[in-house]
Amino acid sequence: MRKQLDRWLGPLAFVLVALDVWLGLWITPPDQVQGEYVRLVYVHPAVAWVALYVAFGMAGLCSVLYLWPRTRSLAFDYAAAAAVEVGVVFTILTCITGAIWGRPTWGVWWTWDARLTSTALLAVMFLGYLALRRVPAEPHVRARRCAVMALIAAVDVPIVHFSVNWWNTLHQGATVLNANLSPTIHGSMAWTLLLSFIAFTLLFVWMVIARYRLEVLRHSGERKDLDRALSERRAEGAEA
Amino acid sequence: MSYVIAGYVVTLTSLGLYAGSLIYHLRQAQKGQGDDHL
Repeated sequence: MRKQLDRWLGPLAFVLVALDVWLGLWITPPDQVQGEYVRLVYVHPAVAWVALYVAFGMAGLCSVLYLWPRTRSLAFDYAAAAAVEVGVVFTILTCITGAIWGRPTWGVWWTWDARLTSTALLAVMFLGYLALRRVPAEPHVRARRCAVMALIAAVDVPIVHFSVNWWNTLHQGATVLNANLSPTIHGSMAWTLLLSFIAFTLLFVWMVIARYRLEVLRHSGERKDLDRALSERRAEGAEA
Repeated sequence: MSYVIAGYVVTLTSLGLYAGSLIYHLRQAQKGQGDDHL
């Protein structure tokens, strides 16, 4: 089952992303108000969904599970690290695609709008998380520090989500995840939008699995190097 | 339309490069460990 998942998840995610691009650029109609610019809706919201809710939700959950004494395991620390790194890539892409969409529709690449500012702040905080991981420390000390940092940063996620309701923002309100849970988009546009969410979520899952394995391999390599150095030092001591 | 194309190109290129770098580093780490079953 795991081997089947390994074999198919990556190619499936890439095929679905390619299908999303094909539908988004060639099949779906232009919008009455936004014209051709609406085609960015098949990239930007899905990338933002993965960054905000999937990646940082997973990072927050894994951090809680690490800090909880009964479930404490370095596996949760590695999973949180993988989710944050991939999440930061998606957050930066959210900001870039948002800016590309904002220029022709709002007339500016960037504005200090509540949604944009809180999203940029989230990216900076999780970049701080990644920097904190590089500070040399014993694995459990680093894991504890990073879990606390992830939870502090995750507080910004609901602020980003509700920013369009709490403040008078230039960014539009929620179209799909609105208060009534009734998407205000229909037809081929709705299906392509749904496909984009599935495609980018699967791509995220594949990337996180790969990043998690890399983290595990790196740490097991570090442990082996440490054990080798210790045994060499002991052998030197015995000879003396 | 150029903004739309730019949005798609930036997204797909970035994710493609990141995915490629993950595969490369994972293979290097597996070689280093002599572990090909992960």
